Amino acid sequence: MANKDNKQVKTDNRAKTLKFFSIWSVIILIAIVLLANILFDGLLGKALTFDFSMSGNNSISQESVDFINSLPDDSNIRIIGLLEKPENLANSPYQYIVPLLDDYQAKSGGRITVEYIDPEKYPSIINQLDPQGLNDLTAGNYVVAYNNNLKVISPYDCFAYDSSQTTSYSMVPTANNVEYTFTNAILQLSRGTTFKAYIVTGLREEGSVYLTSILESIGCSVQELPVSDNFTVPEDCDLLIVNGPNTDISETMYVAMENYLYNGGDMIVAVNYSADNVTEKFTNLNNVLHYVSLNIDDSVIRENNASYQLESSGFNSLATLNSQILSVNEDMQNFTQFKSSFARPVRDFGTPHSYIEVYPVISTSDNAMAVRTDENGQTTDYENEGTYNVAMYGTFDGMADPPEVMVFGTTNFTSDTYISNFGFNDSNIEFLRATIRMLLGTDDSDALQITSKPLDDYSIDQTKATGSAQTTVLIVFMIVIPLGLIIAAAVVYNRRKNL
Amino acid sequence: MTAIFKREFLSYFRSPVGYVAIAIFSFLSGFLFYSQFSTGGVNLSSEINSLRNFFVIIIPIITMGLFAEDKKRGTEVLYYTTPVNLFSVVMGKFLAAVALFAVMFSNVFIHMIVTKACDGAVGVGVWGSVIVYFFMAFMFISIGILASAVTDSQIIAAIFCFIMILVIQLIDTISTYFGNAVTALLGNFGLNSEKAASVGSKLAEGLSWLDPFDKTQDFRFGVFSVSALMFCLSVAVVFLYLAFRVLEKKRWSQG
Repeated sequence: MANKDNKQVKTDNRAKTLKFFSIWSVIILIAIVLLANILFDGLLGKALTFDFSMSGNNSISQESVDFINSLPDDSNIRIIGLLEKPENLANSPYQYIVPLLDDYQAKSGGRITVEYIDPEKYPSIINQLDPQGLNDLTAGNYVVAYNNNLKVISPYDCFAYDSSQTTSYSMVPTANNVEYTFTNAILQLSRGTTFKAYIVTGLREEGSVYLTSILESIGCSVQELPVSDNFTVPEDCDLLIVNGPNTDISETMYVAMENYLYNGGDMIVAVNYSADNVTEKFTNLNNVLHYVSLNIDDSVIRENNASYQLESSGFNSLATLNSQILSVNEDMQNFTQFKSSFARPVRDFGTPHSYIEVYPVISTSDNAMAVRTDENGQTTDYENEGTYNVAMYGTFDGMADPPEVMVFGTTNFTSDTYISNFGFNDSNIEFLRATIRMLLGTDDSDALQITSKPLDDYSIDQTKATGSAQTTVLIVFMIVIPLGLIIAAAVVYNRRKNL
Repeated sequence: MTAIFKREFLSYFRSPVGYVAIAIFSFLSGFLFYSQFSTGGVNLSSEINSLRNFFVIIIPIITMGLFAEDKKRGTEVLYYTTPVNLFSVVMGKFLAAVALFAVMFSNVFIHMIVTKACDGAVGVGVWGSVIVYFFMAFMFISIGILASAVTDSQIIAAIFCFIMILVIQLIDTISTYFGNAVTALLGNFGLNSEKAASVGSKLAEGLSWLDPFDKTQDFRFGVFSVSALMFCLSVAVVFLYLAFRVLEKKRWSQG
């Protein structure tokens, strides 16, 4: 009896040991798995994350990495998203922003921190970042904070849009400029602004959002200079820009601008020939330009050389760099061809002063023609076939601080429409940057070349995905295959139900 | 293990279960594909990610009978009486379920071929989504196997598995509600509202760290994270081990 009891006790002990082992092995395994995941995620998570996307939409370029690493080690750049960190990124602008910002943080060597703070939950963040309320810290925006300065970036500023399809209801993004926007914001905050540029507004012109972004990326602080009765050019103006006016400037503005040039000011003028300004001769603006012997004609260039034409009417065409400008700026030899649309001819006015130097910068083929049209687009007059200048540069020779003026007869270099369609990497836009640097006298050795990235394109060939192809897809994938399988299931069930 | 794998895999096709599961999957994936195809743009990553939402239906169907059926018929005793490692049994059944999943997924590979034939994009993001899909399938199938191992009723196993997967799918929402509840509670106790919100969001963040959908969401954009895959795999290992322990317990508790 005693032996039996002893046996029973032995069996119970073994069961208890196995139970004990079983429970503790599970607990230990869970603990190990949890700990390993936390450590792995924290220590190697970023290092073992790889961006295999073709366009590198989720990784910053070596250009940005090098720039960030050139900042002092103790730099503390905060990128704050004024929102909860978005979880469902698909089909929102954040799908291109959130992973890229994570990459900024991972590759910055501790210089950049990315945070998400919802101002609705933490209202004090607004006051903390911008005590004076100078910036638009609306929920959903991002803030780049560095050296006690702020730059606010809206997610919608990070893309180029197809302006031909932009309506008040929908915007069709064409390129991803997230990296361009954030790296340039950091650049701007780290270097501060060296120059001041003013863009004249109130001449029925298109906006200058993208031009402003380009100027800021070169280190310019940009301000609008509205048309007024007592218009003056501020003394701190380093660069004055008249971008795409559709009406002429006033007499007062002409005097103020000429005075600005007299004092050695630099200027960019970009006009075009459109339905909004076909009858506009820009008399006062031309009077300003005559100071450096330049003139914009009241006609439009029609390119007759088929190899230059971008479409058969000849108003959208290619134009080439004129080698004469290389004597002023050798760096421009990197450019060859540009797109020119509805360009007014720019010519040497012939102001009789020997110190004035005028250079053709961008020219048509030898077979172009200048025509005038009425408001309905009907040709009313034309000039002889020859070479016309789409852009010219005028300055004074032998002066310490001469005025410098670049005139574009087309807005293909400066307009929001053009830049949004062709992005920041386009040859025209690169040339605009080079022009701004030339006028400001800054070299481009420390300039950043952040390229736009293509967006994912999921479209399929509509000639192959025809209506009948769609019907076939519908029938095969939603009816034939599932139904065939259900019939097979029924057959199997029927055969085996009695087994 | 190979013998068990073969037996279990073929058993899916000796009963209506395998056909029905594949039919449901085919219909759902076909619907998702057609709805994109008819609009002139096919994002296969989006289709695959949407299919992950149906784990909650498909996984219980294919895993509910794996052990519960054996228990009901009394054939489970074979696992304990034959010289076979119980972990091999668990792994064999697990791999059979995964293989059935791969067969189901062949629908999506056909969609890829159609998309490519229509000059659509089958980029790295699509392959990322495929990888994630399978790693998540590993995880959820292992949960289904545990559910099937703890009960002899297929219905209970399916419900248990359904609830587990549903909780994991909703973990992000649950964590947000949990964070808000903690914030409100701490606020009621007189804590400064921003501090309460901070504690609440930290707790919510901690809970949502367990969300595999969040960890793997960048794969669809071509960003591959080894730690996210490791998470899915390690969770699968934990649940398979749990299933093994549940079966093993029966072996020694019978003794």
